[in-house]
Amino acid sequence: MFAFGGGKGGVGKSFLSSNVGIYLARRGLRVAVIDADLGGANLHTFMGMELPRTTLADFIAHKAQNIGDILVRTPVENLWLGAGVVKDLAAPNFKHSQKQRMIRSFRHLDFDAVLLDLGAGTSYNVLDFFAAADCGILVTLPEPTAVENCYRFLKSSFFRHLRNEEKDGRVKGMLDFAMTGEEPMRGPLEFIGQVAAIDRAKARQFADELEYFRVALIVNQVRSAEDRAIAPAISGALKRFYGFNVRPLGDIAYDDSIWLSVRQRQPIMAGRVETIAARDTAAVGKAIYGMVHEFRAMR
Amino acid sequence: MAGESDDKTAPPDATPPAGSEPADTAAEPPQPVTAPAAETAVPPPEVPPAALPEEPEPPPPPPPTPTYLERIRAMTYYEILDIRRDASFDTINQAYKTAMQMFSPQSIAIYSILSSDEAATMASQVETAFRVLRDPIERRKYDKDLERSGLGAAEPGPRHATEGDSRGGGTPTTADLLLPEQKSFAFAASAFIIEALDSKPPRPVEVRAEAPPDAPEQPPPAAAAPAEPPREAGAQAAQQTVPAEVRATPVPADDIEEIEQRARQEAASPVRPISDTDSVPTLLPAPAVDLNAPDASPPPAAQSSDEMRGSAEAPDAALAPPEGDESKLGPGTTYTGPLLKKLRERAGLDLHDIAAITRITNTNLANIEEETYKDLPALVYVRGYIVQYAKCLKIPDPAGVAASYIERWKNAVGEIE
Repeated sequence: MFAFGGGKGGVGKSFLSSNVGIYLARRGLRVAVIDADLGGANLHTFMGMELPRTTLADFIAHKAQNIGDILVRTPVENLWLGAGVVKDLAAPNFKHSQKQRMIRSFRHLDFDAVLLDLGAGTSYNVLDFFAAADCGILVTLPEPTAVENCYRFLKSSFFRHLRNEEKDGRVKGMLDFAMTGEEPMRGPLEFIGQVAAIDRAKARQFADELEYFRVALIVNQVRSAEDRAIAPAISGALKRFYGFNVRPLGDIAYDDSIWLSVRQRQPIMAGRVETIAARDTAAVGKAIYGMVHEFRAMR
Repeated sequence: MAGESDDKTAPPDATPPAGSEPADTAAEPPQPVTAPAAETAVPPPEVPPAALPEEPEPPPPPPPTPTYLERIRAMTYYEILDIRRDASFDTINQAYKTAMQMFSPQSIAIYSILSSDEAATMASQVETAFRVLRDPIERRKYDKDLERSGLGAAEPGPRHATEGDSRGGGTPTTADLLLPEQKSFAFAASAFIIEALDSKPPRPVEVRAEAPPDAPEQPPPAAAAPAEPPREAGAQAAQQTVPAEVRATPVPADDIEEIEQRARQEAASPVRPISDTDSVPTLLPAPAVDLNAPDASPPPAAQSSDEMRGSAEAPDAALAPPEGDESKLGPGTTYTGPLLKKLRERAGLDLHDIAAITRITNTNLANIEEETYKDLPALVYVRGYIVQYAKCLKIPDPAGVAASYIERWKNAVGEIE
C-alpha cells in the first residue's frame, strides 16, 4: 500500500497516483487506485471516468462491507478505481473507529499494489492514512512553501503514527505538545531526546519507528537542473536533521502535456509516452514497481 | 507504520486528551537558537532530566531543545557529508557537491529547518569535512582520531532499506558503539541526544585539539592553539588554523566570512603556483592537494624555489614529513625516485591512494619511483606528475621537487646518450 501525500494542494498527488496506477497495471500488476480524499474527490476525473455508482461513501455508510466491493473497473486492464466521497462528509465527523475500519479494509484488499490518493492539508485522516501505508510518498514542488508544507506534513504524520500506538498518557501529552504546542517541535530527534529523559526504552522504540518509517519523495514540476538537485537536498536534510530516511523516486518535468492531459481527461500514461514529463512519470512508476517487488519479497 | 492497528483504543481525533497542556512547572528557559549559545559544549538539558522523572503529573514540560548548532558540531565528517566510513574518493566528491547545494543560502530544502546561522555553520563544516576526507593523509589521521575517541573503526555495513541514491552507502556512526544493534544516522543522532540527556559529554568534539602522538606533522600553530582552550578560544583556534586541518568546531557565524576570506587568500597564495589553471571550486579553501590540476604546463620549476618556500612556510613546510633524514628536506635535497617512494610509504599510502587523487596512472607512478625513465612520458608531463605527487605527500616546494627529479633524469639520460 502506497499513499500519495504532501500537505499542499495542487502538487500533483492525484495526477501521480492515477498515472502511476496505470503504469503499474500496464506492467501486469493488479492495481487499485483509491481516492482517499474524503470530501473533494476527483480521482475518477483524472482517470477520464464518470463518477462511478459505488464509492467510498457506501463503505462508510456500511452499505458495503469491504472496500473491494466498491471498486470499479477502469478502461485500463488490471486497474480498479475506488472513487472518493464527493458529497460533504465533513472530515471531523469521520470517527476514529470508521477510519480504523477503512484502513483495515485497505490492507485486506487482494491486489499487488494499492495506491491511496490523499487529500490536501494535514487533517488527522490524511496523516493517519499516510502513516498506515507501507510507504508514504511525498509529492512536492520545487517551491519553498510546498517544501515547507511537506516537512510539516511528514513530521505531523510521524507524530500521529506514534500517538496512535501510544498507551502512556504522559507520552501522549508530549506528542500532542510536539504537534500543537506553542513552539512546535523542531523534529522527531528532539522529541525522542525528550522522551529519553523519562523513558529510555520508549525512546529506543521511537528511534526504531523513525528508522523504519518508510517515505519516498517525488518532486513535481521541475524546470531546471537546479530544481532536479532539490530532491537529494530534501532527503539529505530530512535525514541529517529530522532523522527520516527518504528515498527520492524521481522528478517530473514541468510540461504542458500534463496540463493538457488533465484538461482533456486523458491520463498521460494511457496514451503516447513522448513528452519528457511522461517519461519522468514512467520512471517514477518504474521505481514504485521495484518497491512493490521489494515489499513482496520482505513478506 | 507496518503495525496493524486493529485493537486501538485511542480516543477520537477531535478529542484532545486530558491534560495535553504542559504543566508550567520547572519552566526552563529554552536554549537560544542563536550562534552565541553554541559556545557551550556541555549538553544543555542537564537539569530537566533530573527533575522530570519525579513529576507524577501528566505531560512534563519539554526540556530545552538542543540547538542544531550543537548537533552539527557533534557530527563526524562522515555524517556531515552523509557518506560511509569507507566511501570512495568519487563518492566524497559527489557528496560534497550535493551538500554544498543543500546548504547554500538559496537552498529551499533547508530554510525551514535551519536558521541562517546553522546553515552557514553547516556549510563551513561541509568544507572542512571535504578538505579533510579527500586527502588520504588527513583522512587517515582523522579516522585515527575518531577511533581514539571511541567513535569506532571504519565499518562498512549494509544500509537500511531506503538506500538507492547516489550517496552509495550507509553511515556507520556513533550508534555502532553506543547502541550496537542499531545502524543508522537517525539512530546515531538520537543516541546523541539520549547521551546528552544522561549528562555525559556527547562526544569528544575537540578530539583534534590534542595533537595526537603519532601525528607529528601537525603544524606548530595548530598544535599550540588547541592546548585545552575554552570554547571561546576554540573559535579563535579555528580561525588561525583553518587552512590546515582543524576540526572546525565552533565557528561563530561572524567569523565565517573572515575564515572564508582567509582561506581564499591561502588558496591564492604562491604555495600553489602550479595550479594556476586548475579548477578547484572557488569556495574551497586552500586545498592541500590539487585534484584537478592538469598534468601539463608547470611553471619553470627551477625558478625561485627559495622564494616560494618563503611564503609557503606557514602551512606546507610545517606539514613536511617529519622524522629522520627527511627532516632536512629542502632546496638542497636531491629527490630521487626511491626517496619519493620512501616518503610515500612513510605517509602510509600506497600507489593506489596517490593514483586516486592525482589521476596519474599506477604505471606512471611506479615508473617515477623506479626511475624507469624510458617508460615515462614526455618530460613536461612528468614534471606535472611529480608536482602532483609531491603535493599529495605534502612535500614542501613541489616545483622544486620536480626540478630536482628532472635534473637527475636529464643527467642520467645524458650519460646514456
